Amino acid sequence: MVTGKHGTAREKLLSLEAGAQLIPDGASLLLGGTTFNRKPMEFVRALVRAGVKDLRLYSFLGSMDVDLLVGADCAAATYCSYVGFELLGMAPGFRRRAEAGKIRVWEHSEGTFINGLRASAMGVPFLPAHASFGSELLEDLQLKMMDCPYTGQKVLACKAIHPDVAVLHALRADPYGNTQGPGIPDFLVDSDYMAARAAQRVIVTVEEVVSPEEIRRCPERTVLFHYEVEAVVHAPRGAYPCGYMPLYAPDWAHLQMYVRSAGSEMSFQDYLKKHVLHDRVAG
Amino acid sequence: MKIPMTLESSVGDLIVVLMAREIVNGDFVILGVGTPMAAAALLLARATHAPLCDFFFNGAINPEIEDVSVSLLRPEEVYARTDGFLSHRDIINQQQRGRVSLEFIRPVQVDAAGSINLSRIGDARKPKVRFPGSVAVPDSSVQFGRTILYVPQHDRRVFVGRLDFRSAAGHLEEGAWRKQMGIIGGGPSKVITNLAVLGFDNEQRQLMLETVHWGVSVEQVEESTGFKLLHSPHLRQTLPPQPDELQVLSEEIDRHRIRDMEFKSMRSTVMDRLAQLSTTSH
Repeated sequence: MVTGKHGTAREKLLSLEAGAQLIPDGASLLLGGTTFNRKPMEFVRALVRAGVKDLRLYSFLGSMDVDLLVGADCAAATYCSYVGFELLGMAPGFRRRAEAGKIRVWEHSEGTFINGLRASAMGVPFLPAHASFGSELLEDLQLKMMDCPYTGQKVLACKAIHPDVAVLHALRADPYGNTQGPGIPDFLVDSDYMAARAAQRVIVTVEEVVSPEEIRRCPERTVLFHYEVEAVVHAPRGAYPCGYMPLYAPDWAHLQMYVRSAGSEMSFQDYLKKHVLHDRVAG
Repeated sequence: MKIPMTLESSVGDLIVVLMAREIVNGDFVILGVGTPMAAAALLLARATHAPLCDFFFNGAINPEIEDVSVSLLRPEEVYARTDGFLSHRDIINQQQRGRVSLEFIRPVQVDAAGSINLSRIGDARKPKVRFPGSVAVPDSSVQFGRTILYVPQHDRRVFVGRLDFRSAAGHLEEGAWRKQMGIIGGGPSKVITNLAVLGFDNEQRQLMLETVHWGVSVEQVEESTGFKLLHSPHLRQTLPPQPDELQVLSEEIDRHRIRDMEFKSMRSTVMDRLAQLSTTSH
């Protein structure tokens, strides 16, 4: 049997609330998914209920995941290349906190973000890239240009990004953490697994918990292995109101209602009470 | 069902048609998410003069999209009819190698050199306005064959003498910077607005007026621009959308006018339409 930090094949099924306890205040937390796809929303709501503070949030393309955590005052900083609701407009909670100076926004480009995670996943301190030249984001992020030692070509040295924890929502896993994705590759789905492999710790929430035998019936779908995963949380429809294809599409009406609610502090708090804190309210 | 036209919708259709005309056979286009005007333009070009352009949408290469609304309401149908899928790793690699020839971008602010702000107005610690962010635009501006900007409302808030923040670089130092840095991408090549089509002049690499839409005067464009616009030596009037272009757009590509969602004032109307569609289509 393989042993290591999380190496032993042990059962690691946790409840949603116990999973949320694995995220300490101040953690750098990477959220999987892209805008409205595969967002670990059930886990995000559990974090809000747990009252976690001062998170440093990493999201490649953030939407309601980042907006909810920022709006509920769970975050101190964000590191994203986008936080918004696409066609539905800007991210109201995120905007309000950013414009009040309550959170620090470290905006990335997709290139600086992905190459930083790639560097971490590869175990190197930076990755040279032909990306984002001339963008003032580079000064904010203190990223440096350099000359290729062989050709003299200009490259951007994308500094490795090392999140403490990655949380992602996947199709299914066995109790040991062997995790599988959808049959048809969802939009940029492999970025979730790459990001997970850039983090120190990984938590997966899944639509379904299955037996190891079931995993072995279609091993070509396995995307993360038990020795990479610290905890498995069963969260059916766990991406809702974002989507998890091909099981369910984003609920546009709910998202639109959220954007409207998050537009003011008072209606945002109402939304939280009604849709996020209900477990606590119910005792 | 006939959807009544508004001023915004006719402006939107004009811009979509002008965008479509820029796409040529052999292009490899990346469709951003949340840009239905760009999606409509791409499908229009494929249905008319550029059937042989390739495109990447939501992870798929050349998915068959029968209508823009389907990509939102039933994405699984789009995934079922496609040449195949490109992983994030591979699309990022292909972008960086210069394999992508075109992307449409909607800037918040743009200056005379075609540099773009998508980030913020004011200080990083306490910005006056925080925008959603620059996504891959800083990258596509130095990687893609060309980028084309579209601006549904041409005014001095968008066309500024000085950007509040430079998210993505245009043609800095009159174009010399791109050569010095060995940049593989061509950068911004056109700006399509509700008043005019702008290009970049060959010497100074600054925005210049190429065509003015009918009913719009050169002075009106200049007054709506916060910097001095050069004039193309071939300055002329824009060829208006032709009946066949408008017909394909409205009757085949985007029958439910999802493209109107890019106008804030029309967003909730389109959302209601989408909601109705999602209840009737199953």
